[in-house]
Amino acid sequence: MAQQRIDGATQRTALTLQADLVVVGSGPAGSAVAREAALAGARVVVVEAGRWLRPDEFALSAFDSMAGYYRAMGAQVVLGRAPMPYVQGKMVGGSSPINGAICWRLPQDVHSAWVAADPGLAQALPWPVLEALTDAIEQRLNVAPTDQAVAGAKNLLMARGAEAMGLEHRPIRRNVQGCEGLGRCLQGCPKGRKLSVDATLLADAEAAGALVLSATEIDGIEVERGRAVAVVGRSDGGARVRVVARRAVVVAASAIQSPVLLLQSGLTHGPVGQNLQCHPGVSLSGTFAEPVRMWQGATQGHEVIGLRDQGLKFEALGFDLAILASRLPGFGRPFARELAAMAHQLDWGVAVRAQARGRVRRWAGRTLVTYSPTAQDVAQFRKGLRVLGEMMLAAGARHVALGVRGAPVRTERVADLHAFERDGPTSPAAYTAAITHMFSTCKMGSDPRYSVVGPDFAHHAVRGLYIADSSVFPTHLGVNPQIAITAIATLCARRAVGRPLDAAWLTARAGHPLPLESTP
Amino acid sequence: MPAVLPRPRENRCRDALLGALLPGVGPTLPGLGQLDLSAFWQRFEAAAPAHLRLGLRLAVVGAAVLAPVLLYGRTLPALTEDQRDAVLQRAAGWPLLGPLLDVAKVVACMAYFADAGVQSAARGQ
Repeated sequence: MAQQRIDGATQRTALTLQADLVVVGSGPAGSAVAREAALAGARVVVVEAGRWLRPDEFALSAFDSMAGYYRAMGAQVVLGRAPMPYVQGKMVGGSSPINGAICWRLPQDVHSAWVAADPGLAQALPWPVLEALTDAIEQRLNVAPTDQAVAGAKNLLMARGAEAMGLEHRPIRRNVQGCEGLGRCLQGCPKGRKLSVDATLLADAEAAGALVLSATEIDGIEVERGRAVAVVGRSDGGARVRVVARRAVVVAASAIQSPVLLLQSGLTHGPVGQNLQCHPGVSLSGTFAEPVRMWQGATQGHEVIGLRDQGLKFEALGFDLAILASRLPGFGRPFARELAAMAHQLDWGVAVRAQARGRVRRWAGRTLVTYSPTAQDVAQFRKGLRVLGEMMLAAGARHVALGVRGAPVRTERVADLHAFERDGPTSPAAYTAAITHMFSTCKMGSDPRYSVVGPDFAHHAVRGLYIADSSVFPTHLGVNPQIAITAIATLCARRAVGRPLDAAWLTARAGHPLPLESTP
Repeated sequence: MPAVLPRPRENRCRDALLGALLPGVGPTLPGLGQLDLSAFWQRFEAAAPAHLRLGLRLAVVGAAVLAPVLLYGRTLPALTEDQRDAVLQRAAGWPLLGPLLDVAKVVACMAYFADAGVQSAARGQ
């Protein structure tokens, strides 16, 4: 059997590889592309900046995990009116091994809006095909509602609070198998119970012959006579690396790193780096009379979806103790008193489908991401925190803490929460927000003036160059994107290897015959 | 950022600030100042991005040097525990220093719960 893995950390001499398809990035998009292309018979090389991690290497503490396998220690920050961290994994599997394992299918209303805005996308992203691919991927990743036996208090209490308020809610559908509710998804499951893409889609790609070059940062795409022919970079071991692409280069490095790679390579066609959309999130903590031990139970096992059509989605959170502690109010002795009661504290969050648009740039050799929530987005923060507070009080919290500068530290009165929603701070800088999902920085579209890639995922100006990740999404989703990314990236792979989206292929992938009336 | 203080003195101020931010927690959990953080700082200096290290240093200069000198005429390490806590309560409300204290608090929490003994004791609560 041919060599399947090369560890860039030990690669100290110059390395040149050849492949039909070179995939930059091994997160949900890169793994899905690699799998589909390898199954189609292409020789695939996946290049990943991070390293392979075994489950027993995943750390317990937030610091050890963030210092070990989060990009820039999880402390990358968008610049704007309210500097906010955006969090990305840096390992084989991208952020998939350290996300909350939350799975959402591409919402049909989002797909319909994309097609309404650009009818050219209807043929490129056919809904029945996406549905069939999503079925197949969900089966492979064992996506299922959180087992209530391992949910833990934080998730069960959210169900109680939402029920009391009459809000639609449900156990989160997650890609796990045999989850024991250790609450360590964000540090990586030490028992390997999360079916992240490295353990599933990328493993399938390797089984079909794909080679994974880890710990190697790609910093350029070589273009000859208008065609992408190779990628170049440097291994952690210090070696110069070049991977020649006989057929295509597929960039799948995330909505931040993908435009950065294009800009570094001088590929400035179209709105590359522009239109950054995301889901900034804010959270609220509350204190319960009985111990609730936020660190126990499925990390994120329950969500409230009744206000999704208003751009708000609520999730139970399960941080490591360091993150939970840093969100509690106060400094010094008052803070120590909060910590002493940490077993009684919960933290729930709301993700906002924000209006704001940001931008990814390269400046003086550094990546610069600018993004400022709009006044409407800040109003959504206030509304989201009010709903979270009401839910937590309805679930039995003694009091809740908003964590907003210029607002009351804590309250046990619903009226205070409504007053906060109405009159609370309007500056985004007053809120402790964080960004997780990012989109649209290499937008897909029919018109090359307003998009970076066409509906076939191919770069408008460079042949043989495809982009597969959420940077091509026309807009954000309002929901967690990993499943939608894998489904759409699979379509990208099919285009990149030059194979049709035909009935035989779909039947093979989905395992059953499919209605294809609307497929091309 | 150019050094405002000689590095050993800055580190003493940093340790005093973080110790004041996170004093002893109940009967079972030690204060941050009682822990050996040498391994943490070594890893932090290697892994933390420049802006986070800068944010922490600015917090140290603001809350362990400027604020206590303004309030008590001495830097934080020279103050009593009561005075250190009083500095924090005042400085937390100041427009620029408040957000920097938030940065220092995040680092303090990271350092605190990176200690295996603290993790174990806290999870046993």
